[in-house]
Amino acid sequence: MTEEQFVDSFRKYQKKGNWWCDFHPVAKMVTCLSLGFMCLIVFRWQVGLIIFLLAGGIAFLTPVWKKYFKMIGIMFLLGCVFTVIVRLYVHMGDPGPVAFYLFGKSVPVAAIISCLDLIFMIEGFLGIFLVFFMTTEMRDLCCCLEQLGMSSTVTFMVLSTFSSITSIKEKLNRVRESQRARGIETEGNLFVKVKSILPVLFPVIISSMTGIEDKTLAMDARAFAADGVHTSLRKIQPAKRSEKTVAVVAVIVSILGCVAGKLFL
Amino acid sequence: MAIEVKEISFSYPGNPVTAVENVSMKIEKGERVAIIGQNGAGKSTTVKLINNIYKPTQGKIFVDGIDTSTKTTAQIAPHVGYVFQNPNDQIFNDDVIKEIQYVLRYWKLSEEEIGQRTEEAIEVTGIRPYLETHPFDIPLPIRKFLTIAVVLAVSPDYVILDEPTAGQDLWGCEQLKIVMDYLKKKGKAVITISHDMEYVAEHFERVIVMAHKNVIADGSKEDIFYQPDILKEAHVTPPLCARIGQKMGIKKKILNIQELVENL
Amino acid sequence: MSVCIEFQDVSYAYPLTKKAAVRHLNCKLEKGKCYGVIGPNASGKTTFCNLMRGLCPKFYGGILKGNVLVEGKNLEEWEDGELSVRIGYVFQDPFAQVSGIKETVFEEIGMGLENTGVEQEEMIRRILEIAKVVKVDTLLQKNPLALSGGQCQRVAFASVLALDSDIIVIDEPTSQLDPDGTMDVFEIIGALKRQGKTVIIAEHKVDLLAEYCDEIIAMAEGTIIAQGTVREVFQLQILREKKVRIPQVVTLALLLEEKKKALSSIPVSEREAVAMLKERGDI
Repeated sequence: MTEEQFVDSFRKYQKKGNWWCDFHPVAKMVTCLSLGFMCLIVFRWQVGLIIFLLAGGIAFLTPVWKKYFKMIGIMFLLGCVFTVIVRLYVHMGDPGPVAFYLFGKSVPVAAIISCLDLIFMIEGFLGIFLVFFMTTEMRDLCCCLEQLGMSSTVTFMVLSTFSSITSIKEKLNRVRESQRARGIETEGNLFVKVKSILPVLFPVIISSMTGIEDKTLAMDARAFAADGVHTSLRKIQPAKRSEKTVAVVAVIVSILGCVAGKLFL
Repeated sequence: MAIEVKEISFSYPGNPVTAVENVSMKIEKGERVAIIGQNGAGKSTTVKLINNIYKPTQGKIFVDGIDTSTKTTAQIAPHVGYVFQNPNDQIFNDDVIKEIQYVLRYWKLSEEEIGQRTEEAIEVTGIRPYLETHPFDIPLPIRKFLTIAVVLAVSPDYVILDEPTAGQDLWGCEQLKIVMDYLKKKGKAVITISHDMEYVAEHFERVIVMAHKNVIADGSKEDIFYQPDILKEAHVTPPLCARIGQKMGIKKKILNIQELVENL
Repeated sequence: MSVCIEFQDVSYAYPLTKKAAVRHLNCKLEKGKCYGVIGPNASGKTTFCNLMRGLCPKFYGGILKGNVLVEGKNLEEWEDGELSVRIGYVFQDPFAQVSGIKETVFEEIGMGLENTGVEQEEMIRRILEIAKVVKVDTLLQKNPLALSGGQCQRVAFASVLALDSDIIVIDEPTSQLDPDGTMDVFEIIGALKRQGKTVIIAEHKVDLLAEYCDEIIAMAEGTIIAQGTVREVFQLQILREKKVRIPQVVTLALLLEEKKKALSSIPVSEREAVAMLKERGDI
C-alpha cells in the first residue's frame, strides 16, 4: 500500500470485505453474548448443539475459518475427554436405565445425557465466543462502546490487558534466553523445562505489572486525562438497520429460548 | 585456548533475512576485544552465537576447542558469560544474594566456594549498599552491575559485556574500570559491544568493526580509529582525541587525552 | 524573556522514603530556551523533571514543600488534562512509551489527538506534518511494537509533539540508543528550538548538551549546584568535585590550562576547540 492509499483508508469506513467481519462490533457482541448466555442458562445439549453448529456455520463463511476449526477442534476434544472422565466416573454404577457396560460397571443413559449437556453447553458457548473474538477488532469494539458512553479508562484497561498477554510471552522468552546463557538447562525433557520455567514465571508476571506504571505515564503524556469528547482516527460504519435487527432478534430468541428450554427440555 | 568463529552465517527463525553472513574471528584467552558498528550490523547476533544462545545455520564455533553445535547453551555458559544489554531481561530472583548465587547453587558448589565467589563479585561491582534492596527497586544503572556480579561469580574465561556504559554516570564508569582491571588481573578475555568509543579506546587493545552483517576490519585500536573510511562505512565516529589529533595534523596516533595535551 | 517555569524553594520526598529526593530547588526557566539538566545518577534529575510535569506528587504521592509555578500558576491549580497538553514529556525507555494498543505508527502518533478531540482531517494533517519533522514518515504503516529502539524513541517524540505543547520535558532519551539514534534525537531537539519551544532535557551525553543547549542546570545529591550558560557552568570547579560529567573539550581546555598552554577561552564544542587551537598557531 502506498502512503497515500494508507492515509486515505482512514477517511473511509474500516472494511475487511467480509459480511461477518464487518458486522457492527456492538451488534455482533450483543448477538453473540445473548446466544452464548442462552447456552449457559438452558444447559441442555439440544440448545448447545444448535449454537455450536451455528457458530461453526458462521466461522465457515469468514476468512479465519481454518484457524477457528483448529482451535475449536482442540477445545472440543479436551472438553469431551475431561467431561467424559469426570462425569462417567462419578455416575458409573448409578441406578436407572443402562446404556452399556464398562469394566463390568453399568453406565446409565442419564449419565451420558448429562455428559452431552455439559459438553455442548461449554462448546456452544466457546464456539460463539471464539467466532466473535476472532472476527472482531477489540479497538473497534472499544471505540464503538466509547461512543455509547463507556469510559475511556475502561477501554484502555481492556485493550492493554489484551496486549500485556503478548508482552508477558515475549518477556518470558527473553528471560529464558538469559537463563540458558547463565548455565541453567532449559532444553531437554518436560521435567527439565518445567523445572526451569517455574522460578521465573512469577517474577516475569510481577515485572510486567510494574511495566503498567510506565504505560500509565506514557498514556498521560498523550493527554489521556484530557477532558471532553475523544475522537477516533478509525471510522466505523454506524450499525445498519439489518444489523440492529439481527441483534434484537438474537436477544428475543435467547430470552424465549431460555424460558422454553427451562420449561420443556 | 581461544574462541574460534569459522565462517558463520545465521538467520533468526521465521525470518528469511540473514542477520550475519560469513563471519570469522578468533579471540584468544585473556584478550580484550571491542566489537563496534551500527545497530543492525550483526554485533549482538554474533556474540549470542558465541554464547551458543543461537546456533549458526552455517559454519562452526569452537570454544577452547569444543564445537558449540554439539552442546546446549547451558553447557557453554561456564566458559562464556554474557552480560545482557538490558538487565531486566536477566534478573528474576527477589533477592540480590539469591540472584548472584542462583547458578552456583544449581551447580551444587560447596558453601565455602559459593560464599567466597559471592563476596568477591559484590566487592568488585560495588553493589554492597544494595544487598537489602529488591532487585527491581535498584536503579537501572546499578542493576547492570548486579548482572555483572552474577557473571563474575560464575567466573567464565570469556566475558561478554553488551553496552556496559549505557546510562552510566562517572561513578558507574569508575566502577566499570574496577571490574575491567579485576578481569585483567584474573586473565579473563573480555569481549564488548559498545557505542561508547571513549570506553573502547580506554580499555581495549583490539577492535573489530562490523557493518552489513559482516566484519569489515579487525586490528589494533590505533589502527582502526585512524582509518576514517572504514569508520564512516560502519557509521562510527572515533574518540574525540583522535578527531582533534587528526584535525590538528598530529602524526602520532593519539587515543587518550593526556597524550593529546602533551602533543598540543 | 518571560519565565515559564519557576521553582520556589522546592523539596520533595517520594512516599515511604525518609530522605528527600530533591531539596531546596530554586530556579527560573525562560520561554524558548533549551535547558540541559546534568548530574550523576540519583542526583534528582528525573525528580526535577517529574516535578515540573506535575507527576510529583500527583502521580507518585509523597510530600512536596515549596511552590512549582508553570506559567505563573501554581501546579495544584492546573487541571491534569490541561497540563498534559501544555507540557509534553518524553521518557527514558523507548519501548515503555508505546501504547501497545495501536497497530500502526500512524495511529500511535494520532492517539494524543484522539484524546484531545481533534477532528479527523485535522488529525491526519498534523500526524503527517509531525512524522516529517521527526523522520518517521517511512514508518507510518509499521507496527509500533516491531520498531528498533531509535525508531521507537522517534515515534514517542512524534506522539508527544503532535499535541503541540509549548514546553517539552525529555528525560534521558538517548541512553538506550546507538549514535545514529542519538543524533536523530538531538536533531529533533534542534528543530524544537527553532520552533520556539521551551525544552528541558536530562542527559548524560554532556558533549551533545554543550552543543545544543542554551543553559545548563547541574544537580548533585538532590540540589541544584549550578545554573547558567554552557560556558559558565562547565568550567566550575564544583562540577568536578561532585563528579558531574563535563564535556571532553572542556576537560581538554582545563588540562591545557594546567600545563600553561591555555586556550583563549573555554570551548564548548569540538569545532570551537579546533578553531581555538588553530588560532593559537599550534603544532
